[in-house]
Amino acid sequence: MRNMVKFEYRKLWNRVSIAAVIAMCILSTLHTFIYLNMKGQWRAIDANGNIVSGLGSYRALKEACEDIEGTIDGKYIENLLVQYAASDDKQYLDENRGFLGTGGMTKYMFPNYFINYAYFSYYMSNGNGKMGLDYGFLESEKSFYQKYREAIKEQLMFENQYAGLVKYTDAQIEALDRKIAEIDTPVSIAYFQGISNFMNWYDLEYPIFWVVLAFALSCAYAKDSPGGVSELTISAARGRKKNFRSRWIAGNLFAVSAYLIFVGVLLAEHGAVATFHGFSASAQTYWFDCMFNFSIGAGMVLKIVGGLLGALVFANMVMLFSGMFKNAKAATASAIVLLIALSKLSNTYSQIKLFYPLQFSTDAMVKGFFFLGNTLIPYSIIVLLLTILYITILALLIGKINKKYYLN
Amino acid sequence: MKAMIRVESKRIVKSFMTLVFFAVVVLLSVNSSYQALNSYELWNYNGYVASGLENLKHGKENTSRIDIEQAIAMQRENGEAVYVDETNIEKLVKMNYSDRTAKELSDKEINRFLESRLRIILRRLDESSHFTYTEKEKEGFLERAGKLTRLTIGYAEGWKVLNRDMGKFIPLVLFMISVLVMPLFADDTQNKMKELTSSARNGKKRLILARFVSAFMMGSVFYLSAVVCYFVIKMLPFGFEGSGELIQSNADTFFSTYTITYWEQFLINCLRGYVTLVFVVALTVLISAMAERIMMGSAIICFFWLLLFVMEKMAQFEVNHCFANFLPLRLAGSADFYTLNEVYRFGGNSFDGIAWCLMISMGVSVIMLALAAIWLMKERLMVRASMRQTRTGHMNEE
Repeated sequence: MRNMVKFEYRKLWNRVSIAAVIAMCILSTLHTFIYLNMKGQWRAIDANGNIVSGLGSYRALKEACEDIEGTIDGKYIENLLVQYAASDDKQYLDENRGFLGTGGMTKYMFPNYFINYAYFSYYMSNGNGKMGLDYGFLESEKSFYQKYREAIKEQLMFENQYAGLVKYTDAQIEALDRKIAEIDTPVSIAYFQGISNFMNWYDLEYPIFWVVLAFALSCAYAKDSPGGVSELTISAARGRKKNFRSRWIAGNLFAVSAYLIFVGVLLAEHGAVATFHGFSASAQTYWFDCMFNFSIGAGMVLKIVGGLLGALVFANMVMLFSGMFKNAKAATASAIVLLIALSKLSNTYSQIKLFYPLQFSTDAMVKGFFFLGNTLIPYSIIVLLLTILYITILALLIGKINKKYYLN
Repeated sequence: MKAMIRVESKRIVKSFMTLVFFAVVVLLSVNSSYQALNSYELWNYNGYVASGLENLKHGKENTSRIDIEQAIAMQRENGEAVYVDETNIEKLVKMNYSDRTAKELSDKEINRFLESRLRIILRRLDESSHFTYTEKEKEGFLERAGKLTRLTIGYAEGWKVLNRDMGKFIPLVLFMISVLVMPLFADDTQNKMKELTSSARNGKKRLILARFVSAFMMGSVFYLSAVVCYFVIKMLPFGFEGSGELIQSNADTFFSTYTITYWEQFLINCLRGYVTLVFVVALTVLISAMAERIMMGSAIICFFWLLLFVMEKMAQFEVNHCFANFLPLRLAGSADFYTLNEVYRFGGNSFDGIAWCLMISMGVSVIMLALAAIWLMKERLMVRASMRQTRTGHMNEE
């Protein structure tokens, strides 16, 4: 069996899949370097108050950020208020009102955005207007985190009111309060622009990675492909069942391998440009409304794992199409139509979209949750259960194909 | 030769994919028309006011081809802007007089409406963050923009939505055409017909030529049929009136320096689409000839289009100006060519964005076709070269 899987896996690395993987890597690299190198767009205020643009801006920002790294406690807030008021950065931001909204960066955006979230809550965005520190709640650490917790609750209640599948009950709101109270504070902050870039690019390119799967796995059970099903496959002694099963395992292994290449390319590029510094900073400083206690790095890994699970579900869908149509082109076309449909259906505020595998890689994986009774279940657990459910159903359907497979 | 072209063309036309192509074209056209009509639905704080058709009917009945100045004066008396004939005028006033309404304009401002437009165009040229225009370039733009000395406001909603939305429709059609043309040079069958046809008497040179001609011929037929189908379906609910109105009567193209009618804009869009078709077919021929397999060629084409979509999504001027403007998605679909006043400088001369991009795109298409021809004939060329070498060797021995 292991040998069969090995051979089937090798067959999946044919000219079509290799071309698709290479094309994806080229697209990803062009996308990364052309846009990260936009001199007119990406600009950072360095440690000396000068503007550095293009690829060098990230390293300059990282260097400048050494001043602002630490734990946001009472002392930190006190220092920040004094330091920011007297900084070149503030002066520059006051004179250039559109700086942060057009790709400009300053070291103060890390702590200041986090603090401003406590004030703006659901209405938080980025830009010069979200950098002010003139708030009464900054008087003490306690009053700041009190306001921060209120902001999270306000946002969650607002989202539930307009987009929630089921409205929270009083008991659930109490559970929510308890969870918000359990957030580890004071939070630690650091430069995390490299991780942020990676996650933005990853979100944009993740659906494109699925196109690779649509092309590569469409031949798994097709009969019009050199690596597909032939007379030999279905006539060998015990061949059919074993062979079909090994094709399924090989297809899933291919999805994992291609996904690792996709993520690896992105990690290498963004790591080289902006580094993955800030891995251990608190998740709350990036996902402001996150109630779970882990680091930004752990959140990034969680997103990557979610993406892998989503990719496995889609890989099984493509293999099912391949077996249903027995034609690689029809399977590819159907898979791409399904991908477009999932993308379109995801353009909604409703939580229903969280059941689509395309959403398994989104920020919801880090901060999302559902209520089961009065128990708060993280979305990452739901994703795991959904993946098992989807893949089981798809594998059963694929398994049925081998029983009635006619070549003519 | 004619027979070969006919046979090769039939390979595309007879396929199941052709049926899918026309079904998708009709579906896209109907959907586009329906969406455009829906965008004319009127709502206010109290709820539903009028359907798209009612709104358009009101527009048709209440729009006579009068000068913009007169139309603004009438709108000023009327006050409220609800239906399309009224909102159109308000939109133009808003564009020209920084978010003001017709009610707020004085007689003097109304009478100087077109002068104000020219002033704004000049200011935009002066303050452009993308270009530092030379005086000669500015004069050129202003001279062209100044040709608009009289602007009438008539009903032309059909033409407005047609020219706006065909930028999304044509790239989709071109993508489908590239998939349809792919089997001419790439083949997934195992029957060894490729080797057989290549070794036949007229197998190489004439067959390749016939396939080239078929690819462009059938691409053109598909493109023109799709455009005609889209034109008819899109325009039906709106009516065909207004083809002679100037594009400046539309708020989207009010500051365009091209003084052309909607009909001329439609023809320019069709021409842009056709030049893009030549590019797309040439690219498909090159890729399919090199990849030899349909699926492999399709994967590469698919990722090429995805790259273009990613670029469009990032919306960066530098990338668009230096790269994406010459490639199918923007070349066929972008409305920026009418309003951004892009110039390309070459050899001491400045060229207009539309003309320059179309010219470069045609040049690249020719290069791609030449490369495809060389690739397809490479075995023959290599055999000839080795024969020549052998002959030279024999002569040297003698």
